[in-house]
Amino acid sequence: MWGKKKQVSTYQQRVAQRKKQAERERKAAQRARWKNVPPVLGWPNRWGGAMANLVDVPRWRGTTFQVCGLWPFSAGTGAPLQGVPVGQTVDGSTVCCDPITWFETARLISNPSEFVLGNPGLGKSTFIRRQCLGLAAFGTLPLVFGDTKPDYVDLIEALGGQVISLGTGRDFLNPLDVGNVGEVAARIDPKAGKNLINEARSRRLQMLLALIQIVRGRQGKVSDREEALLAAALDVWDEAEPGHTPLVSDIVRVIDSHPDACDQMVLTRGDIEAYRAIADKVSASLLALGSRRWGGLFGEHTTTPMRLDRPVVFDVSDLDRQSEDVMGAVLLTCWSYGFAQVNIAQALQDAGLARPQHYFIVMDELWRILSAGVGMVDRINELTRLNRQRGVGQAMCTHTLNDLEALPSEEDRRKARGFVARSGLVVTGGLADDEAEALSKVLPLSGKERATITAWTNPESWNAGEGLENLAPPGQGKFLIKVGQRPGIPLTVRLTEAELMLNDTNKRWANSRVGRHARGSN
Amino acid sequence: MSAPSEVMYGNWHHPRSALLGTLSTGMTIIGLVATLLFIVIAPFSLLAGLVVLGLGGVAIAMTYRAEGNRSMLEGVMMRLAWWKAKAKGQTGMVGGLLGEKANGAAKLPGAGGAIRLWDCQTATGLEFVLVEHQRVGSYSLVFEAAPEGNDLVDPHVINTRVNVWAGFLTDLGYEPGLQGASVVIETVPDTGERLRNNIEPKLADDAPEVALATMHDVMRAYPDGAAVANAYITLTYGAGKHDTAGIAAELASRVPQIMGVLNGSGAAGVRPVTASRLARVVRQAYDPQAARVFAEADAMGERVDIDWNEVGVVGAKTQWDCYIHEGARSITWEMKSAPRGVVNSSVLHHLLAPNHATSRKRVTLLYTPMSADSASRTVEKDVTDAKQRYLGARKPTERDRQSLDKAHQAAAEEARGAGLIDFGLVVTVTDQWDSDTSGAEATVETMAASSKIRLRKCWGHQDAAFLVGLPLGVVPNRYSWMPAAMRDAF
Repeated sequence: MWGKKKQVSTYQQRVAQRKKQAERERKAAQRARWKNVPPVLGWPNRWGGAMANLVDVPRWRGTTFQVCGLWPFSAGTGAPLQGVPVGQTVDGSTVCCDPITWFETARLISNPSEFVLGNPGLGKSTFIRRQCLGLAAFGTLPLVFGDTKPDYVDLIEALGGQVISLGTGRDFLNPLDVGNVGEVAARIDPKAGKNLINEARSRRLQMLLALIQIVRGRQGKVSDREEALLAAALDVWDEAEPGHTPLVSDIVRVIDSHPDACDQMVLTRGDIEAYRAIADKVSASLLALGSRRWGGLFGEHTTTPMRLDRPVVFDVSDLDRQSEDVMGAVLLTCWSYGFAQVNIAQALQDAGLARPQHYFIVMDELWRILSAGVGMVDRINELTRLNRQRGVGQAMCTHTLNDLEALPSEEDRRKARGFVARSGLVVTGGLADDEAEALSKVLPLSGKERATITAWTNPESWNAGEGLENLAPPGQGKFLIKVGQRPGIPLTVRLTEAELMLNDTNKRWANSRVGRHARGSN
Repeated sequence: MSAPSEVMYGNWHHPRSALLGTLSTGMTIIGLVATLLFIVIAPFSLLAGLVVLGLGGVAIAMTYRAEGNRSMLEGVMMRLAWWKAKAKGQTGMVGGLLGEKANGAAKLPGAGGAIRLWDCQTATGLEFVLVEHQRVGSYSLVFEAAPEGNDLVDPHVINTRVNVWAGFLTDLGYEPGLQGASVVIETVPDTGERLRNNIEPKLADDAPEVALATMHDVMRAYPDGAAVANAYITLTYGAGKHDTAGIAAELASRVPQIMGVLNGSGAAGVRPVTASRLARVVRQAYDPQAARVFAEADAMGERVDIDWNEVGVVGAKTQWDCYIHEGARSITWEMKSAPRGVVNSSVLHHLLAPNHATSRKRVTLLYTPMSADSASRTVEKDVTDAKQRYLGARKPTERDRQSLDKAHQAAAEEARGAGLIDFGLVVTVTDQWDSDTSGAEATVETMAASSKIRLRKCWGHQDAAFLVGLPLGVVPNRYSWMPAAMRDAF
């Protein structure tokens, strides 16, 4: 060390210099990077906000099998606030629910349909009326296909809508009416137009089959030959008189006239006797529709076509005194016609010829149609089919699942339960024990939810002092909204001033307790 | 129906080490040192020796820590730090344009200023945020979920969910490099703003009169919207030798696994939080008025992105018993004692549920899991310590015997596969700065009482406790100068 200096070449000197410089640069970069990062507890200057103490909280120790008991998720978040506000939960927070918003905006359900269940008198139609009002305020048109009480006529009138009252001496609806399909098909592009026309044809056929099944009652399935015969008869009519809507009597005439097309479809090969054997059965069923029992309801052309730019209700309350199967047939006709019109409207909207419009379709009294004949579930599925889900919400209503269980064949029962299972959301009012049990087989209901639903059917108490008509049953207006596996949302419907003024006091919770329904068949 | 199948939980204790009877390790050492010094000094000067003994006794007394409280020494040190900070003017904070070091940014005050956010993506394209705590070298993941609650849910379903949660807590012990985890449940009761924001933009101009009148009536008559409860789950990892990119790559593969483990624990819709969402949450925490602005923007369908440089405060002031930030006042409590005895899984329900008396409430559960290998050592040591206390004390109490039983139970559970976890709880309540706090305070006391826990205000560290209560993954014991082993000794 004290001796001679080590001989260092310039190359080594330069390497050492470069190393030192790199080291200096690295340190400078680090200083620059950490210059703007405050020290651990914050900037220590005045008004710098440094923290005086950052100490740990008192700690407790346990095994994870025990500490999990301090479960952080026991308080849930409320229902989403999207849709029509329908009521309030127990703690006063608002519940908003309607199938269209929950499908399109909130994406909570997989298709925009709801199924409403509940014993009579507990306010199902009030719930749906609130949804109609709310959706009308959002620009959606409520369409009620078949009002039996009537529950919705006042509402639709107040909304400035069209009331079509069916019955003898009033309006008529032709079951084979599928709207002005030919005219519309000509206006839109050829492929869509062709689809529209084919759908209309199939709808007409389904309607005829449905009517025959209802007329034949328990005995009657429609055989495949008869179905083929009817399809051929409809085609013959279409070729002979394109653009004109046939009446049932027209179809009977076509069948009777023994056209070749019909003959080919039934494989009678020109044999008139064999043909008559098959055709007469069909004609007999169709002619029965004109008899007095069926009130001449199905034999006239449609007097008032349904408009698509305003709310609509088909008021069938005048026919309430008719028998079950007639009522079922009328309701099914309304549904079919209504859906045909909505289909046409959607075709026009898709082609850009009409402004986009949302619809909310209310189908009340599902059980009347189901009990009208055999195999109605398939017909309903066919006749309530739409080309697109978007833009149309549906609400189907019935009393309890036991109505669906009362169907004669097991296959029908299974398919009927499918209505509930396939609905996007299910709204239940109070149900009896066994009914709640039946519902829990289709929908995952927890024990607590079942207990809540059955508690809502507790009978009202006798109160000697007050007038009895002022007492509402305790479960009135209380519903549980159930979507898939999520926990149900219990709510109480609270009416506003505007709604209370809309109904008069007698009809406030008009469902089945008062009103014209007194002489009805329920 | 539900009573027989109700599962009860308990058996947590305040960790305390014991070396000689009831004295903790630290106190024993002080005592030994004092005795040694006495023995050395006494031959020269008895008075000095007695003074040393006296000082030793005082030191032991000051480090004695009752369950859940702080020792006198800690209290004195905290007060000194507080006075020093006040004297230096550090309790106030000015950020934004007038801040000296802020460079125009409004970052989080104090220890939060060193936090940086990174936008990352998993292999499947899921975006998540990586929160970097620069000065302590840790990184946090944040997840968001909606708690499902236990209304109308069957007890056996709740038990299943709690078991899944236990599985999550156990898995925390196996995560490599995990320093801490936290669950933040934030509730905001609604003032009707959300309902109005959801309905008004949708009303059609050409709708019928009756319908519009009804909707206006509803907005007037249904004032309370629906209270919102959000859950955030954060996990904080130590950086080790990795740099940010390395940590991000490693944690990106952990994200789907963690989401899978959390699934079914009662938190629905677990998803990772993005950087802008986290910034928004923190901004709403520091400035509750901003929540209204964001809600309106949401109703309009606009997207609002907050930069991390705007997320903090422009003006704030810490006081001994509250924290004032941006026109709002927050009070933070910490859990002094956990529920005694046994409780069921909905014990925290009243504490967590939205409450109309408080405008914004945040309950944070802080977990420090022990790694699986040290857990078994600790459990055995706990058994040994409990035996020491029971057998070494002159008058063994029933409580000592019970704590021995509990230590045995914990050891048995650990052998069955449980992990050992340290937990704490922090409650923050935010209101307007000029509102009367006595109502909110009374409400919190009541909620704590019904949840069987005892709370204590975070005297002298309101701002720090506020930061710990946010879903940012701040692990408080990383910020102290004392290493962990020394802290445990007292």
